[in-house]
Amino acid sequence: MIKETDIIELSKYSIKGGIHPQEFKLLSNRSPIKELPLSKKLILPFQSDNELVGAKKIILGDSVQYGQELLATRPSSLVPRSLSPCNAEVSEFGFSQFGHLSTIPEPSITLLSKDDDRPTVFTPITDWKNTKPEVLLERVKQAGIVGLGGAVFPTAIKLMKHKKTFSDSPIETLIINAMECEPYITCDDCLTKEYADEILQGALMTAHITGASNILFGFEDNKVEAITILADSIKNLVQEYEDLSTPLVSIKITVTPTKYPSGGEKQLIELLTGKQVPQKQYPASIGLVVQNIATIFSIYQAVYLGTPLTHRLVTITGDCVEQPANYWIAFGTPINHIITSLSIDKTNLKKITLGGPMMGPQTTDFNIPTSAAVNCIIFNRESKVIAQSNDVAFQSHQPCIRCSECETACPASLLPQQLYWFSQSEQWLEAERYSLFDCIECGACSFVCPSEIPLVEYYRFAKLQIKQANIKQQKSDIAKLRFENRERRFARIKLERDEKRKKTAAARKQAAEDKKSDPEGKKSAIEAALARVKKKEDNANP
Amino acid sequence: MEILVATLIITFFAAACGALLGFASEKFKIEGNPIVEQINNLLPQTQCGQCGHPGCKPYAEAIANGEAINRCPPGGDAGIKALAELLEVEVIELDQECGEALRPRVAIIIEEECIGCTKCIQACPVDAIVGAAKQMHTVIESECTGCDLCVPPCPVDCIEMPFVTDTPQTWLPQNPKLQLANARFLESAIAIKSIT
Repeated sequence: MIKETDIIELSKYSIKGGIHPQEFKLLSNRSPIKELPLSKKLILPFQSDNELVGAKKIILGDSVQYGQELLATRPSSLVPRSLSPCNAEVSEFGFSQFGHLSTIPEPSITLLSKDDDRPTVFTPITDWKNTKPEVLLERVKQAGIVGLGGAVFPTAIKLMKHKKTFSDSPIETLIINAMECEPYITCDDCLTKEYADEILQGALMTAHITGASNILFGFEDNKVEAITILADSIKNLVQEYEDLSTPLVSIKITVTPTKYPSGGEKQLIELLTGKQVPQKQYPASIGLVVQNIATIFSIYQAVYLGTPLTHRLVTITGDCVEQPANYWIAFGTPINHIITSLSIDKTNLKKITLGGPMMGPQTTDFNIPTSAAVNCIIFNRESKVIAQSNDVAFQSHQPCIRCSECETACPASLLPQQLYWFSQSEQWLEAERYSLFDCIECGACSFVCPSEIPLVEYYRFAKLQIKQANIKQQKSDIAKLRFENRERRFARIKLERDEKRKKTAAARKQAAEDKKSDPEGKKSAIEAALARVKKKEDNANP
Repeated sequence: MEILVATLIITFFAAACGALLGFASEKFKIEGNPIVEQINNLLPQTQCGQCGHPGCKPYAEAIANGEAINRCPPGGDAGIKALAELLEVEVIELDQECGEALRPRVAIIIEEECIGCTKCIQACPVDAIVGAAKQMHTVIESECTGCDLCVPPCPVDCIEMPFVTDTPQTWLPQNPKLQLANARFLESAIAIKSIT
């Protein structure tokens, strides 16, 4: 068991709800990290901003270098930079599946890899302690770093936002998420075991960027080995700084009991600090920033080694896999390549899960590529599925019996049965009133439901409907405004034209009258002459 | 005497209340008809005129004056439902005379064929077409409401109205309830087959 020391402390707080699914983590966390041989074909998304549609920096047949930028992005873009994971040739611009639930193909770039030679792309910043945070932030942006916990939000924006928008409430604590609460996944666990020193350096860099004075690592108590290794590294680091007598931010590890979903951002914050993030606000508003541990490692790589984020650690596990382990896999590697190069038994394999079994989508399409969002791929035999929430083929379920098991399990303090009722009967206003958008789609409710209702599927349906309705309303508001502006413009033009017509008519009438009273224009000529004389006189004797 | 006093008091109160109400109606006067605004906000603002009115606002006014609520094809069944809820009337089916409820569409000008006559620019109710006389015109797709009004005036027939294609960002899943019904139907079909 884990003992409390001056570095390790046990969590004093707890979260509501949660479940304890079978872990299956021992399958993959006992083998060392390996590297997957490079695939011949790589499929990358052709994502770009609205304003830069099709702003590609490459053409068909181009040779691209490792780390080269493929698409143009705006500096503040929410779309991560698209970088080549190897030396390759651009072979196709087309449409591919990326595992979206809609199965609508999305624009893609296909690369044919040449070799896996990976030279340094950016100049390493070894003296990062004396480098301005802005410079480090720029590097994080250049290296295309995104959150590797699953949401793939650009890290540079997250870190930058905290500096700018919340300057009055500065970031005090950097929380590093190493909970990894989903079953099967062990990539963060193994990464910590093998790269503890590097992760620590990355954490110090991130604290330097954000100006945080505390670093808190959050671990579940099932990762004893990783915690011990990291604690040793912290001890050495503290010793090193003491010998050099340089100040060091406080670094602590908080260990929490294993429970799903304690790795959710808001849940983690509550477990570690006892604070709750207010509804519709970000952790930054209470002086916190949360980063996944793998993101921290990639920040270290980008700053200290000059490496862009083009590979990630992926847990390859499941009972069809002979040697389940964690592999470094290039973004864009098709799953078929993983199956062939690891000789995974395909005979009983119907579908795979991308991510954890609780939240990860399932797919039957083995051509889809991996990406920064895929931290685990589960190759399981047909019969062995532990959660049904994301099943491809919809399973029949029983009616809700109002047992309120889901309410007990919900970590977000929601009322899942009410939300289910409003979602299936399409009562959007009521659903929103019951805080549907605070649902983190963790699947704890579906897991405990005795009627096997795929509750998350209903919530996702409701959320998408509400979002689309809002977009539609916005569009119609804009159309209304444009129509009204046009009407106003027409009215103005008509008014101006009428006035002009009135003016010319009046002038014409005046001219006609003048002509009538003074047919030859003598009278007006005399009047004009008199006026001239008078003016002259006035000028002469003022 | 008592009767006179009572009558005077009541008359006085009535006059005072009347004056107060008269003052309030002037002071807190509402510009325009608020129900028209509410109806207008529920209409899709395509300004297509399929209801027989020159725009959504005129139709909103007509509804406020008692016209049927089922004359807006772009609004579809959801639009009728929303109007029925607002006005507390029965939900009725879409009037087929006005047209069918189609998926959203967008105008696209075949630019090689455009002669630059500006007729479509004048027809567009939301100023979503840019161009000048004898210059090529083009549609600002994000502003186009798919109302179809630019198609008839075009002398060279170079405007097309394709359906907007679904993207993963605009995709909407089916209600899982319907999928459940389907699954149960299949189950029962299998069960019946196994009995017979």
